[in-house]
Amino acid sequence: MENTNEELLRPLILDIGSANFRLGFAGDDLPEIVVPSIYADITDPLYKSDLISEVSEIFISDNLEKQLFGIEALKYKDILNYHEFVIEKNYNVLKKFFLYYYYQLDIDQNYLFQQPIIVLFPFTSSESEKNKLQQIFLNELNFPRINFINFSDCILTALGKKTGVVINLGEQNSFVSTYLHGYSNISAREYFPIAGKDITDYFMDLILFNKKYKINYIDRWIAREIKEKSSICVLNPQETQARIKSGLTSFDQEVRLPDGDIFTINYERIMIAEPLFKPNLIHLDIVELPKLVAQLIKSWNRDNRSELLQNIIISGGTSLIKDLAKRLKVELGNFFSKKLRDEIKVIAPTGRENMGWIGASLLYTRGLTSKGWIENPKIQNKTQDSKKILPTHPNTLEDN
Amino acid sequence: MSFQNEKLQEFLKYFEKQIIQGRKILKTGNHRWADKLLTNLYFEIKKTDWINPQKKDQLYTAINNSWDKYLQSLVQQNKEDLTFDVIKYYDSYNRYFGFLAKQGNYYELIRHGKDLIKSYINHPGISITGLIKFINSLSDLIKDEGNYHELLEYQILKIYLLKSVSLSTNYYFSMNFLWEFLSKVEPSKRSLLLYIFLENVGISFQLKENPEEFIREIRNIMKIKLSPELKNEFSLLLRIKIDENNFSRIFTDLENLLMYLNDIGESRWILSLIENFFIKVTQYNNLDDAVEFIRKYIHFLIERNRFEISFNVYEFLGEYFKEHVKDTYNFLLIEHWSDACNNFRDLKEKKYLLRSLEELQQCISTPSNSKQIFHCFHISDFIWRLKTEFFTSEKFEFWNMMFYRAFFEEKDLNLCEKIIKFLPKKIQPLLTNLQELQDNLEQVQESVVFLDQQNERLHSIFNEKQNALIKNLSIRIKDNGEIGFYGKFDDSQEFQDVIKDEYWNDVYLLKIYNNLFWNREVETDLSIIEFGRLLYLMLPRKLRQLFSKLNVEDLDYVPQIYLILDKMTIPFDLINDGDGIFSLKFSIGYSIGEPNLNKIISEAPILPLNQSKQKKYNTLVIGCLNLMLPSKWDDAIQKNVLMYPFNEGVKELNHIIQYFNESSFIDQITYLVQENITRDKFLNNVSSGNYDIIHIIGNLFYSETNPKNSFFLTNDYQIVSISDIINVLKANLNHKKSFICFNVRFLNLLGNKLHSNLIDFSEIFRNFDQNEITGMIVRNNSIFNEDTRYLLSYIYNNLTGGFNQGVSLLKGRQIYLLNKVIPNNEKAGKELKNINMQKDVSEEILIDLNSFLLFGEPWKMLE
Repeated sequence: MENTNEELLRPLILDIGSANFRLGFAGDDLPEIVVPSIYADITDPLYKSDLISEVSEIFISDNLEKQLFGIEALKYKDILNYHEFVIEKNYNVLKKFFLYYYYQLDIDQNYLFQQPIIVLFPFTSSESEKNKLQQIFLNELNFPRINFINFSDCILTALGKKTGVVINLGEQNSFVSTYLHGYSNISAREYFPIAGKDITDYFMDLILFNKKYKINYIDRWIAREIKEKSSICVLNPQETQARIKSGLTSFDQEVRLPDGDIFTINYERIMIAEPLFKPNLIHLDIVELPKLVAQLIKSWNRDNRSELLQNIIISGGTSLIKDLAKRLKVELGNFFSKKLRDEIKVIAPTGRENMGWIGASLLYTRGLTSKGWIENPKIQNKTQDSKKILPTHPNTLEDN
Repeated sequence: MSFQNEKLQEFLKYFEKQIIQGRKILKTGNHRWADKLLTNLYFEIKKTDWINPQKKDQLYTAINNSWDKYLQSLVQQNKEDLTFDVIKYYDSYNRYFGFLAKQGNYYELIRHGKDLIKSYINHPGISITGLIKFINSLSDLIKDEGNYHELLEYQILKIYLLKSVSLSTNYYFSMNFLWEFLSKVEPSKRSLLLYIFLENVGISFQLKENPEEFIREIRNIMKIKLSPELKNEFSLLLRIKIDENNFSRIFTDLENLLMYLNDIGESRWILSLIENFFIKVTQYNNLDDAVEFIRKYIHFLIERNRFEISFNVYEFLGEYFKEHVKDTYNFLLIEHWSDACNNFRDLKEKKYLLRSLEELQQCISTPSNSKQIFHCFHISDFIWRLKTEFFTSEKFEFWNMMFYRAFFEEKDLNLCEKIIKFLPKKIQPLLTNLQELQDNLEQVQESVVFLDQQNERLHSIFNEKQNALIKNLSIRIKDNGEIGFYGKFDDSQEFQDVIKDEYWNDVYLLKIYNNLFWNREVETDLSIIEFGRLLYLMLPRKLRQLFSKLNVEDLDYVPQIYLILDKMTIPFDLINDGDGIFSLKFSIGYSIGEPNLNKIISEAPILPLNQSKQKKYNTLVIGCLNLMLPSKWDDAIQKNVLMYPFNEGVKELNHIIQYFNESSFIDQITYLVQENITRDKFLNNVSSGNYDIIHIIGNLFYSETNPKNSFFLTNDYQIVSISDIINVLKANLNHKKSFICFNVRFLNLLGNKLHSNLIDFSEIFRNFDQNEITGMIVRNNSIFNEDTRYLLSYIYNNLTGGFNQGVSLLKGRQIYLLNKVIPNNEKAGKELKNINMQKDVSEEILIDLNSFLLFGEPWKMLE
């Protein structure tokens, strides 16, 4: 029983990504729950009739659950408007979302809301966001304490490193942070304004504005799916594009839309990742990713650059683009001397989509999460035997 | 013969593919893409101007059915799993309604809206507020459609749900409408009519167990909001009571009122009365009386051209049968809708027929006993016949029809065994013991009563001439599939008719034909003889009856069949009536396009023919074309090679020259060979009028865009087109009519060999004026071998021997078959009837046998 207590009272690690939400017990190998960070309202269908009153009103009575979360919302992505609560910064939904999946962890009633919470927190997030989460988990949900740990720390820990450059290419946010022997500084990390969603938009433009495809409609989910399955980085995109134009077919890939329409993409596949290297393609006047990484590495002492260059790690959903690491290595080489160029090593670890969460779990296992906890003042003041009032199921919560 | 042009066929294939894809997407719950696909498909159909409105309606219905069936599947899932996917359900309804609105199909929209309300009005989980909102918007639509009677119903329903009167525009409008109507009726009858109307609303939406209670409740809610005139009528409602005792008296009164309502054009109120009567007759008497009563009024309405209301009555009764007749195979419902189809088939506007047909198809379930099997196939045959005229048939419908005709009409069990595997999977296990089913057939047929016996009556016109035989038969099949015939009995009495209940549609048969002869579309493992049976069964029953009277056994003359076709796809020579294939029994000739109207039939030749006046004929042989030119340089062998070599043609040429040289009936032979085949010589010789027979061997380059301009390439780099030949034949000063044999191979304009395609090739020959020629023998396929050469010799033997061209072809085939199948030493005394076509005759022989077709009047002879 004691073991069970300990098991169930382990901290919960929470990775609230803009694309995916991960939740699980610290010490586990993988998060128990990995679901898309989306929700949908059953009263908000994609199709709205202007002719006849919505039939939905007949069936949606007041006592029906109106919001769907994660996988449930995904099931109806072609029927309902879905929303991304992280992007919308909708903390009310975040709370419901968390509760919906928290209850799915199947924790004994006696141990509910007694686990400490570890939240993976990228440096790009603001203090107010941190405060908001603290408010939800400690004040509203009454968890005993919360700890915010740095996302990049977790990535390095997962790979057993203390020195490295973490390039996280997420769906909503991308950033680069550099670490030397476990230390970082404010000038050694930077936000990069191009993320997965921008690349998806760019890909949709490539398809929809290309007259040869005669495609006038493609939804975001499908575009994202094609992007994830088809994108590929080449070392010389101009040359490859010219070869494709003159008949090279090895890049041809057939895409079948749900309505049976089939079209073949080729040069679009190599163009998907190009905004990372040429931001002006999506009309952004910023430095390209390799240059940004080079600048950050160069912010460290010259003697340390070699060590950093050997430990460049890419993570996040967008980093899954095939051969991105190879291209990045070549492009980075342009900013360094011949000697350093040869030392560049871009690591694209497998399973990198869950790398942050895994790193946090390892940090906990190694006892490195003991510092930085914020205690719940209400619980601290309570007597041991006072009965705890548990929050109810998310769909019965009132909107704030 | 296919009467749907290629463009349409192609589009239908595409349509079918899209519909399947749409249904697949729906099944996965992807409404967004399914909606997009089905809506796009709808607009694609709409924007075409080469699909007729009936066909378009049918295609729209197929799209609507995709949504409809999907909606039904969601409800079934609900029942099975006890979970209700509300999101999918309401969204598909919304999208379906939106789709119907795009079509402007408010009839279907309102009908589905009503079904939705009826299904869920008493469901505990629904939102009454939501339902009332829905009723409000549906009422607006109904009002726009001008269906004020239904609008009034919904206003009553709304009042009942709200338990109060909402003084909306629609409410005032409805009450005015109600009073306008009641004021046209004799005062003593008004409250009774109102009572019946309100009672119907209560029953229709199943609002209360006791209709009287419902009326009282409505009256109480409405009384303070009514206008003075209506208040009076509503107050009188309490005095009315209809029960078993007074019903017969009221019934007579109301029947008179019904006639009056019809006279003043208030047909929608008639429906209310009929529905109410039906329920009461069922309640107080029995269902049979009620059905008899309602059918009487259906016919009353149809006779008075009240088609919409009569269709509504059909719908009402159909719903009743659906709800109250619990048999898994609902005879009553099926017969009900087939009766509706029959009654609506002659209307210019096909929407009622289409709707009835849809209902009929939906209510046919899998049969479980022999009576149901017979009935099911009988209805399938009926549906097939109905669809041939207006709509596209499905493949399984084709095979169902074939099975019905093979088993129940022709009793050909062997063929049935072959057909079974093409029938729907659910039916196949029911047909394991065909013999037993056949043994009980008479009993089964007697036990099934059809509401409409029209079909049987249709076939009885020849009953009075049961023993008469037919000498000549001309069949006209138009481009739209309409079949007419004209002929003579052996006592010279003429007959003529047009088949009204079935049109020619050989789409599926053509696929089998292509498979058999050209392996172009893999379809079946049927033999040519079996295919001939299918071809026979495809004919309307009346034609099959006619063919049975063309009995060769009892005649001393050869019966002749003259087929006048707009397009030719399958040679009718292949028809097998169970007693042999037609190519071996009858003298057959074709005319493509309009025939000579003054002479579409001639006396059949009496056998043996008088051949005493032996004549000699002049012959022109042209060939083999393209043996010299054109040629192209082959760098590998460093010399010019022929572009269109035709080695078999050379053999043909040698054979025919030898044959004509040896024939005692040939007087003069002119050859145009090698460098002599120039355009001028070709045309000069044809136009000279010196030749009784013109035999052309070579490549004919087929022009798809203008078949008349199909051409031969001559050895002076010129071309001779079919138009040129037709023109010089017309200019023939001697007025000699030649018999032409096109012993040719078809190539396309690029020089590639073409498969036989009678639709195209017949286009070439339709341009010949039958007055200018005796006739034409044309190769049906590009099989050139020794056997076909001998067959050609036999045909010429007969032709020059004094037989007419139809008989020449027939006898040529017969002799060929005898020589081919029966060894020389056994020939003595052997006749055609000694040959077992299934066992003794190979497919190759059958193909060779049918290599030539006669275009022209079969009774004509060489001049």
